[in-house]
Amino acid sequence: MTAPTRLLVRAIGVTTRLDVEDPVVASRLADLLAGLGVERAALDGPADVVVPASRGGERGRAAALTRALAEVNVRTVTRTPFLCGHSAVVARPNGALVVLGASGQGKSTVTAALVSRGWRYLSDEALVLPWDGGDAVPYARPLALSRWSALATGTDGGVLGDDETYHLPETRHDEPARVRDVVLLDRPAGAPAMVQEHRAVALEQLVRRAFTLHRDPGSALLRYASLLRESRVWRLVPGPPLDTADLLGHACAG
Amino acid sequence: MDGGTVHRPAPGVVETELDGRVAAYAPATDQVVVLSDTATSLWRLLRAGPHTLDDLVRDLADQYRIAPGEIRADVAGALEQLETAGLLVPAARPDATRRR
Repeated sequence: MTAPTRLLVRAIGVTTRLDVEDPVVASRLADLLAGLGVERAALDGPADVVVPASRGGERGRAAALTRALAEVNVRTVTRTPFLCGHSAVVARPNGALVVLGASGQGKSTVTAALVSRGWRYLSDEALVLPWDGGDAVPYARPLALSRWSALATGTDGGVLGDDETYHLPETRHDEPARVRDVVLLDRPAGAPAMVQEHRAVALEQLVRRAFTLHRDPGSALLRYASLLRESRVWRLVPGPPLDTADLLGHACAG
Repeated sequence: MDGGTVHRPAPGVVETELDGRVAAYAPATDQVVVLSDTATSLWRLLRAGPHTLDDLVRDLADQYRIAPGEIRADVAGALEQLETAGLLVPAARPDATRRR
């Protein structure tokens, strides 16, 4: 039996020691986690996450990969010293766009479509903000797309997971970005549509989706309100992903 | 709800206003709430000083020029929501509490 591969994943102030017993899975994880900051390290001290040797060939590897990514993600977003909440974030030179919506509502699909239309990727998982002000910090975990989403957004390749494929966009935004627009995802309809939305509605959603609110709820409230005062807030009815990205690109251009 | 009970904001509440609506964090319940327009109007009055339900109904009826009877149920409901959220506490009725 060979020794596991130790990966050190460093993201948004959290270091995770990840021991991976299958070298193929370790190599795939190292590639996919490159957007967060990952390096191979000596087996020194206990692991935070252990990924056992996978059984069942490629299917087992896909399951191990999905589990490992999920564990690293949950550990990171709940332990980060930043104010961190569930959102997707992309940016262009004139500012960042935050997409708010429940899990499974299509944030990753919209994000992939925006990336394929030239936006730079910060995250499909978390809006990460310094508590005392400043811009959104990248948290570029791999994008998780269903087969349909990958096809509909023209996102090729990817690494196979349990039910989806993982993609780390090459066009990433590696520096903090000033949030300029916040979009609340609605239920999809035939054609995409956007209307301006009340900032208080976005505030409610940001608060509800914050992973680290419990650290200081009062400060989180003031921080999100401050961000929203400087942003435009929209409600988006998504349609076909690339049409939706075009609409967002147009609406957020001014 | 007793129309004569005096209410005031709970201590330690953190609040902010966004596009005319108040959002607040209540340490007592560890909840962040965004207030409705009616609750925001109520909150502003309560921030200015302790009020009873009767006071609030009277002031809001004056403000919006409608009959007190038309808004009493809405005001009582909003007051109850604020209390449940931990944003209000009953206050001792001081002699100086306004009565008209």
